[in-house]
Amino acid sequence: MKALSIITMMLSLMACSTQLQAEKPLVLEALYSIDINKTSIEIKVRSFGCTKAKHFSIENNASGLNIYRIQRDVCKRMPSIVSISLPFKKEAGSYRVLNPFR
Amino acid sequence: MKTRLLQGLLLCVALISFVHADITPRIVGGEASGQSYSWMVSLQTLDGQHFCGGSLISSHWVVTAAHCTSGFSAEQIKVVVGIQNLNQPNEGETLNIRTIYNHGEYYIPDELDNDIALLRLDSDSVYSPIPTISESDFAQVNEGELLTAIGWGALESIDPELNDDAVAALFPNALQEVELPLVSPSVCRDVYFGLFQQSDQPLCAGYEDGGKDSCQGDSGGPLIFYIDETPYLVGVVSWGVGCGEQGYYGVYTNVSQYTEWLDAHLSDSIIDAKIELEQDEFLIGSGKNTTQTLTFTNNGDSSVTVDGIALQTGREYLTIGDVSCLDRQLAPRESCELLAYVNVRLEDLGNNQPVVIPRIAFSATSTVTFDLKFFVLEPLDVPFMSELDIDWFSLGAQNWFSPEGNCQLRSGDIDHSEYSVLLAYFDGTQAPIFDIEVDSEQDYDGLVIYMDEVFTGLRYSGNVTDQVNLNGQALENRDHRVMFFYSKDATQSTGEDKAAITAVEFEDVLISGDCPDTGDPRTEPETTPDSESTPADSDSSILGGSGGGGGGGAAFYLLFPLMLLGFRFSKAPHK
Repeated sequence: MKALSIITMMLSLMACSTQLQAEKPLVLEALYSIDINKTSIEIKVRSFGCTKAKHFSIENNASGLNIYRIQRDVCKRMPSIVSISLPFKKEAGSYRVLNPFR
Repeated sequence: MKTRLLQGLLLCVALISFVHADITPRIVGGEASGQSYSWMVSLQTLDGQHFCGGSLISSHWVVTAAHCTSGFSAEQIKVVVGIQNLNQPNEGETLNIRTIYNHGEYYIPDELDNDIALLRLDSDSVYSPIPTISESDFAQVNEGELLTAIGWGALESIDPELNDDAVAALFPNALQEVELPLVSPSVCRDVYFGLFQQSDQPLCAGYEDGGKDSCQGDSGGPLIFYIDETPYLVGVVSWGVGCGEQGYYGVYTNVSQYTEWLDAHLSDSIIDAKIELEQDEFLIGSGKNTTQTLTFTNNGDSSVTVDGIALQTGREYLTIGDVSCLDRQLAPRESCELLAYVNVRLEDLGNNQPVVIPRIAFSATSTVTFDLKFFVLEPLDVPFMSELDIDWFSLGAQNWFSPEGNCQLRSGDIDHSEYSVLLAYFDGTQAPIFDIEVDSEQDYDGLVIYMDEVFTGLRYSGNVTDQVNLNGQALENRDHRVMFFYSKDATQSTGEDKAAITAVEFEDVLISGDCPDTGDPRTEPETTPDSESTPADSDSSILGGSGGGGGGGAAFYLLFPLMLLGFRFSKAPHK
């Protein structure tokens, strides 16, 4: 029984891990502002107190620049607008930001 | 068993992807509080905006959630004690905060752990505090017994799609309360599978079917339990997936597990201390073992004993070596040093390139945390220097490079308000000797040299050559790095607009500009004539350099920190 429980937990963990790796973030974060610098992107987003840079993922492809929130902010502070700095290597040319803006 | 697997998957989905979190806003299920709670606290910004709750647990101590106070200094926020309606500014008692004590292991091992903080008020409150529950009393509270959560949080889950006005409409002015049954730790661990260790005893409350819960805006506020009609503080509102969402419970910081920590502070044995890290931004080479000295200074008015140092994040990149700071008393203005060993490879950082940010918790009766920011420089191949046991790295708008057919290293061809950095790593007790040339706008553009992140006193601007010999004092036998930081201000260019290393002597090997072109140096980038450029003049300044100083360097001194601000860093990385 214990072994079965462990196997089940491992399966769950694997599923979670697979989810983390394979699940493409699909929802774009609504931004209050964005500033693309040479080595970073500075965004302003809504936070409930625990929003961190690692909760976001940047996808830059031919259609444009997408910033996804890949992890929810589950904390229970009043919503506030926070600045987040996302490491990014800017290349020559302009960027088309596909995120919605508030 | 299937349920556990399903719950694990559901949590992953809920936390990782919004798309799968089909949240229907729900009434959280509370009601306006019929009674006043003298110990209820509203944490507010200085302009009176409520952002979190709290509980007065003694005449001058308020307990709240660490994620409420993290990032704030004491003078940036205030508390209002005994208030019931936020729209009645005359209600309650407004008090300033003297010191914020976030729990020293907030964020350890995970970001939602140890979410508790204490606020030392500037003066005593006239209101009666609420007692905190003891471990033994809490052990008597059974699963299913009703607890009460109190706060001014949202009445519904906040849909990410809502605009700010719609969100604002979700918040009541009147204090709300809701009764919630205690949920067993094992059930809560199962629901939030993967977020708790098996050994954790999470304090969770709510209904499996949802409908009643704490919500955004309630953080830091109380979860109470009545024993013989006396309320006791058992939990601090912390987090949860959604608000009143089916299948999820609210998670609260279990106050009974922090009795010792609370007692230590409430006994007033805590001495206010203000420990500061002198420098928190560093430049390192990718994949290089780098020893970095971290200097902590007690800038408070009282002596303080350092009783703990912990690395909260970034363990994969950084280890703490010398812990000479530990278990020693720091008098006011006294410093201690900590050796940190860092090794970060750019290719391991993925999207985080080129920055890695480990966090160190420095515990000295109270605990402060420091985020260290390491900018990782990419390796620079310098074939004609291969005989030297020196590793080169560069970063900036343009990297340093070797002009074709010329054995020298040159700063990148940068524009106004940009910089180009070169790091030279070496081991041992003797530093290399560098011949340098600078041709830049006098007093505004120039080269600054650091040794192991410490300013050497050498700044060069204008048209100048010099030999940089950093062997004036004995070096420890370990890795060292010399940083050449060439930067430009916002306007004007003069001369060749460059810094260059024209010769290097290290361990009896000399490489100079006369050497044969043995490598495959990069082609010199095309340069565009700058309309603002003026012909190079013969003025030169070695500002603080070994060759003596020109008198016109004041502007460059003044502008340099501003230039750094403009370049990238939020604050000057070198002091």
